[in-house]
Amino acid sequence: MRGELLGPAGLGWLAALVVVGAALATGVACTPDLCTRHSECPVGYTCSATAQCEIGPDAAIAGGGDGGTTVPGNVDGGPIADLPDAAVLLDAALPGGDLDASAVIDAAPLDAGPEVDAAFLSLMDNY
Amino acid sequence: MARRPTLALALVLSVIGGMADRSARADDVDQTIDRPIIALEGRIGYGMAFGGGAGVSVERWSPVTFSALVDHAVVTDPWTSVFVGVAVEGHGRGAAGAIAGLRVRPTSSQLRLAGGGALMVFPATAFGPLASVGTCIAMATALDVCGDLEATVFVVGSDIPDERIAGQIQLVIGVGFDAW
Repeated sequence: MRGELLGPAGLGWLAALVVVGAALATGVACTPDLCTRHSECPVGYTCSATAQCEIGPDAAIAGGGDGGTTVPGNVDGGPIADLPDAAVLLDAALPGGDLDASAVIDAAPLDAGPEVDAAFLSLMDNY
Repeated sequence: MARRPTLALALVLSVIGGMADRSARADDVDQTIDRPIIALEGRIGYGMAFGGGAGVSVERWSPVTFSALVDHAVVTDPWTSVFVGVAVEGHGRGAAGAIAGLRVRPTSSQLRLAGGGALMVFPATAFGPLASVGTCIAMATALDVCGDLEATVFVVGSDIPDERIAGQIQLVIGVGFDAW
């Protein structure tokens, strides 16, 4: 058999695999915004039991070593979509610091991600 | 005491060597397909990922999984081989790990069934069983194109949310080369 090109049986198997693959690729009602593993989430976020990427415990505690200040609306299960990277950025930039993240959050509109990021960046520039 | 592992390793190698010797004579038994004793296979897989357990169930696109395997025949009837290799996940995620298992060709055709495990180790760990069914088509001497439907279920690891599992069903296309 080796050396021959596609035989009838091989073509059948190949067709079956293509059909199954196409069904998998197109026919499944996917929920791309939800996660299955932590590694599907941005750095600092974890995949929760509700299959949503939420800020992980390390990132949520902005204050670090002293117990820190939790970011409102995240640790308690609230939405994080409005705060895409700010708390993570803060946590990464200030490990063990005592910055009051809630003050920054309160100073920025929660429905505007870029503004929140800008507020954090501005704060860290002056920190 | 230190010699015991060495003796055990030698015993295992001799058993495997004996099996390989049997497989080397397999052409005398099976004239329909010239199966390799050692094959190398490069693969790419894509399909559906799912998550479930406590909380909501999720279906989404799987990562694209690239893998490179070494497949070594160990038994001739049915033709059975051990495979081991590296796997890298991309497209929306980056992860690397290894897969290993057994492949059985239960018939005289190219149909192959596999079972084993997958272990992702970077950037986080995930481990679980895998199973696949597929076939290969001989394109030329010592060259096969293979297709498998492969399912993996990750059940433990730091990459898996608490009280949940994550898995994927992928169509895996591979190119196999007979190394020996």
